[in-house]
Amino acid sequence: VNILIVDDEVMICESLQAFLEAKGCSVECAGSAEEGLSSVERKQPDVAVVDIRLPGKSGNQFVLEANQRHPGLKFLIFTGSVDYVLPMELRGIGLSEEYVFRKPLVDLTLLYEAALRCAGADEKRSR
Amino acid sequence: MEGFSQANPGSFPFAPGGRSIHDRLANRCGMAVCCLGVLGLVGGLSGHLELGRVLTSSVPMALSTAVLFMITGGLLVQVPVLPGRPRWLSRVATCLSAGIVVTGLINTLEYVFDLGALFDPLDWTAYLLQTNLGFPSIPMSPATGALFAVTGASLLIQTLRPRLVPKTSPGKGISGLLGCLVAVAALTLLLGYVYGNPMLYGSGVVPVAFPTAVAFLVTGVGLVCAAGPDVLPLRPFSGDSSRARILRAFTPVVGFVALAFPILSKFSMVAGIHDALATSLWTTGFASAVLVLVVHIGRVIGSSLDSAESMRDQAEQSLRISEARFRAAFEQAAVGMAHVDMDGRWLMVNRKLCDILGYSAEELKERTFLDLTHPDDLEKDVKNYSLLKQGKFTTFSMEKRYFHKNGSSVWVSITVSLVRDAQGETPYAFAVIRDISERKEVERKLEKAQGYIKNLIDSMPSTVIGVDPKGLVTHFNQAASLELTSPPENAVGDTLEHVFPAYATQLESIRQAIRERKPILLEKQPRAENGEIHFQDVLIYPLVANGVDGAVLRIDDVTERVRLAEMMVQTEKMMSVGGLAAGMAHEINNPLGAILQSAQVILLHMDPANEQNRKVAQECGCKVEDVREYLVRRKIPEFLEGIREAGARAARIVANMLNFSRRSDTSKEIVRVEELLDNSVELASTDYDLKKKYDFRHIRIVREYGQDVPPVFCSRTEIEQVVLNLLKNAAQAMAIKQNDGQAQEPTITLRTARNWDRAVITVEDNGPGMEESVRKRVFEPFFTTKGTGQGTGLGLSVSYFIISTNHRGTISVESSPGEGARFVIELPAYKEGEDIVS
Repeated sequence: VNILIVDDEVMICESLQAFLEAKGCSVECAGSAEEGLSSVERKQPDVAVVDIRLPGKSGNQFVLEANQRHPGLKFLIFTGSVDYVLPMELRGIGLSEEYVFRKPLVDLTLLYEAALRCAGADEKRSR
Repeated sequence: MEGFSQANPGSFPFAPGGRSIHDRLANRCGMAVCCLGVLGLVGGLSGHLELGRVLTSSVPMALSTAVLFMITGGLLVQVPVLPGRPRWLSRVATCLSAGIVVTGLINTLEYVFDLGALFDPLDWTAYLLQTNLGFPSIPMSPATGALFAVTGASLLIQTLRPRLVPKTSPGKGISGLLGCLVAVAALTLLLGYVYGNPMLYGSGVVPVAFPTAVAFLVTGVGLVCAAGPDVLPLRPFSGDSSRARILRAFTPVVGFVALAFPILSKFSMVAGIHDALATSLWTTGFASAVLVLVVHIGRVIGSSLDSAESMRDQAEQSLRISEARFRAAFEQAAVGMAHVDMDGRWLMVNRKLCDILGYSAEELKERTFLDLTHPDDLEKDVKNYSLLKQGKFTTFSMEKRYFHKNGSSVWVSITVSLVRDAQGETPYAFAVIRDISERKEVERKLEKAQGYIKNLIDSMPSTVIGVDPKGLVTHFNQAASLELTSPPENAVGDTLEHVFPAYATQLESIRQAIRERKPILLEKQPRAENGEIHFQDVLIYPLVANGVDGAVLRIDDVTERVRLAEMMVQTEKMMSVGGLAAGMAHEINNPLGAILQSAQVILLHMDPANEQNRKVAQECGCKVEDVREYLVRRKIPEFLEGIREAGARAARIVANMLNFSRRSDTSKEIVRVEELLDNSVELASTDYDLKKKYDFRHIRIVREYGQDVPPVFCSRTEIEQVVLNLLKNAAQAMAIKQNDGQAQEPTITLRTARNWDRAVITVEDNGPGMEESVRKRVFEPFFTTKGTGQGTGLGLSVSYFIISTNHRGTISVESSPGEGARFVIELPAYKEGEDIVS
């Protein structure tokens, strides 16, 4: 499974990358929405793990734009904001609370399993 | 003698001068006798013998007789007043009286034994002086001597111990009779002079002189008067009895008639009137006298009878009047009155009594008071009545109930006394019966009001203690009695220090309140109780109404309120912290995430099963197992676990603190409380923490949802969070109890109910419950009974904050050790239009 991590916190990115790679995923990191978008163009990842508060474009915007460019891409929201509410636009493209994770996450396995579920569902659909 | 008619019955007739008329008469008689004696003596000494004889047919008075008369007269003057004179004077009078007796006896005995003029003091005096003084020797008659002996005896009796002799003593009677004898003898002598018959005044012996006879008559009258009206011979004449009055009326007339006959015959003799004429004159005179007498007798008796009759009429009249008055008083009295015989039958009843009991007088007379007495009062009444009959007391009073004719009971107060007649018999009892139903009713109401007020004061949760200005306890309520240190029956009247030592420190404030007549409020007074600090508000207010000085202490335990206030302050603080936390949450959560994730990754990278780990280890020239072995030995995994635990805790605290910042902009909706509860149970059963530590599926959930529970307008997630928190706590608490080995199946009971316009949610467990000291603090922030790391101490305070601040509801807890805990949440019911406004 190819996963793109969009987060400006280096330690979050690196530790998550290490964890997912250890689980057998191929992981790409991006420090901002813009960087992430270009990465989406290049790598065509299956799942994007997105922070909301980012320098420049916000996570929400990234999701909308990335979805436009690459409709098969699945998203997991991974945010440190407690009062984050899933915007209606994102619900409209198939996101739900199920795909929203809040930092800090004590067990990253939850995130990994969610990523597998997204990718798996996608694969089933593509088949 | 007519003077006695003025006498009042039972008292002596008093002259204006303060002395009685007979005393004055005795006094005048004494003076007269004295004068006669002086005349005789002067005549004898001066040679004018006519002064001592008066009548030519009489011999002159002997000189010694004259002296004796002077003494006798003097004594007569003194006798009535002797009781008030010095004792020596009565002794002298006694001696003189005895002298008169002795002189009289000797003079008589001279003649009897023919001894010549043996005892004539004057002769003796002349003889002793060996001179002839030139006055004639006139011997005393033996009759005179005898009369002097009798007179002296009479005087002797009266002068002997005059103070001690009662007025009615037999001695005085004898004295009076002796006086009478003297008078009668003297009268006889005088009659001799009237008739010119010397035999009557002394033929053959020395005759009695005319003035002597007169003097003896006066002496006799004087002696009778001196003896007094209470003894013979005056006794029959004195007093107000009809007999005395008739006697007083007849005696002078009879005396006059008795004297008229000799006087008339003497007159006819002297005047030489013819016998026939004299006889006819006498007859006419006598007949007229008798006629006068009869008329007089008739008049006196008639008037006596008339007056007796009029007195009887008067008595009857007054009896009738008093009977009528009594009857009117009896009948119209404002109280019930009755005569009751010894068996309790009504003999006579008045109208008021009939009114009280509802029976007519005739109906009552057929009954006894026992028939109408309430059975509860019967025994006491019967006992009192029998004691009264036995004479144990003369009157008794009691309060009892009678049955009215209509069956209701009437409270009365009765006073019963026995009426005794002159023979001491008790023909009936007199009872006064007052209707006191109204008073009893008032008493009952008063008692009820007092009971109500007492109940009111006793029901107050406050401690109420009344004290007087001296600090003595006058009153205290139920709550106060729980704090008593001595038995409650001795508490009233004892000092405050002694009875309620805890409040002894307030004495100064009490005095100040009484002095200044102003209430004093002492707030939040700390007080140690069972090792805990309690707070009390002490309100002291002076009693100034009715002039009753003193004060009342009202003590309220405000511990809970103080705690709540403190809690609110702390909650406020938490809110500001919460606001800060919200702003910082992102900044804190990111590093926290980095820490936690890194720790997890480190653990992952130690896993020998991971292909990549092995590869990297190989490149480093060692095995993953060895590296892991080294790290385990150095406890690195444990430290990493510690990092994760601490990070997780920090994350929870941040999350909880954020709850305090939650603004009410969280969307509210109309929710059924049952739905809320069901959702919460669902959440609890899937809760990660709960699943990990306590298996929620082993807990039995009992739902007792009430009817007609109103929906509430609330933030669904918040209330669910509160209920979830309660469920978690209950599960944890019951797990502890289970570990204690209690066999009881852990059960959580969820109830809903309606309380007016509020929905009530109850979450009850059968866990170990909690101590009162814990119970009071459960809502305080950071108060926890769980071990470090297991709880933040914020769960219930957040719940409290959510319910009270965000939803204007209440949350409270009831619990005691071993009894489980019951949390009660009340939320305002949804009101029409509430959602639109907000």
